[in-house]
Amino acid sequence: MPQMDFTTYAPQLVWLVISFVLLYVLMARMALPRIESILSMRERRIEGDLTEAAEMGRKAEAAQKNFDKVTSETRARAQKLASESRAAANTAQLARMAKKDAELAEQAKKSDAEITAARNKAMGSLRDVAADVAQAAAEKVTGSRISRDVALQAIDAELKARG
Amino acid sequence: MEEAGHAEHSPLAQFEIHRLIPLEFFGIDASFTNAALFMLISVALITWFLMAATRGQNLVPGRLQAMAEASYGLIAGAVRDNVGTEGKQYFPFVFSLFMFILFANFIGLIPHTFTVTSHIIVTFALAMFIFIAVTIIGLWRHKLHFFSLFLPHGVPIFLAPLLVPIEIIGYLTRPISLSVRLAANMLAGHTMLEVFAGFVVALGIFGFAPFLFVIAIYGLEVIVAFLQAYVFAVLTCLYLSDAINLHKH
Repeated sequence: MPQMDFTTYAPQLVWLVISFVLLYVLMARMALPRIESILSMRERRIEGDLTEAAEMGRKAEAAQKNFDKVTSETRARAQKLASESRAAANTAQLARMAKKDAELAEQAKKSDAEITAARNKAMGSLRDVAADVAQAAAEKVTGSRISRDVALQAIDAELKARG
Repeated sequence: MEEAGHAEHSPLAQFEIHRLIPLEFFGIDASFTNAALFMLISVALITWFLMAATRGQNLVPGRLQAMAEASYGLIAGAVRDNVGTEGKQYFPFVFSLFMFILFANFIGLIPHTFTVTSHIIVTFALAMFIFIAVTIIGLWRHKLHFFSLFLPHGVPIFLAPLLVPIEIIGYLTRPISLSVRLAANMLAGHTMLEVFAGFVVALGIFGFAPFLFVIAIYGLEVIVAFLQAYVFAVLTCLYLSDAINLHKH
């Protein structure tokens, strides 16, 4: 059995030591650091990506919050503006209406005055006509002419009595 | 190899050592043998495999890089799980050990090659180195307290005279069990393959039956080649754990 040939032990041991030490040095100095660097690079990359994603998430949330805030502020301002302009329109309308009312009242007063003047004038001419009629009627009935003043006095008295 | 056409071809011929370059240093026979050649081939292949696989340093690994990372992860996991964080400094050694045995086993499965790990002297040297190193680490870390390893916790003191010798024998036979397990597995597997391969030729037309058997056994041997390398590495981790953590683990 070749395994029991003791003369082969020495060369096997010598070369086992040589090759294993060589392998150990190659592994410890070259291969393992390289694999380690790849693994740690990947780990760092994954970790970095995760923190970046979390950061992005936080930013998105903040943006959402800001958006909500701006929206509600804008809505509030729009509502305020709308109610303000509604109120302004109301007061303007009321003012216009008041002015129109005043104008109309003025117009009515003026018209009333005109009517009174016209009526007074008409009443004046009616007195003259009545005096003429009274003079003529008295002449026809009595045959004598009455003075104009007497006729006017009688008419005035009669108008007064009737109100 | 050169005995291929030899009349008295034995299934054990594959294990023979040939001095390719006779050398002698200080009276020690340091001849460059076929065993030495295949040791160096293992070292070269391991280094080439790992360096070529990690050349791209890709964030997303390809097939080769994934294999290199898996071998790293397998041994790093074994060291971390069995020894703990303090085992990190021994990781390059355990990794080298695992890869050396794994590649020696795998290369040995290629016909007409030589299996370095089928020689008990090689596996025994590795196991003895581990045994001595682990004992020194244990003594250096725990001083005389290291010997409490031979009295398991919670054992009634009157059982000590019985248990302590058993534990000591168990400790001392570690290098033997570790080395014999590996070498015997390689020796038995390769011998069986050789014997049944001989039957294929001898049986002529009926040779297909042993041929199928050889194929099945070869598949088994591939698993054994990996498993024995892994077992060797894991047991090394457990011995290291005993030396570093005593019973705490």
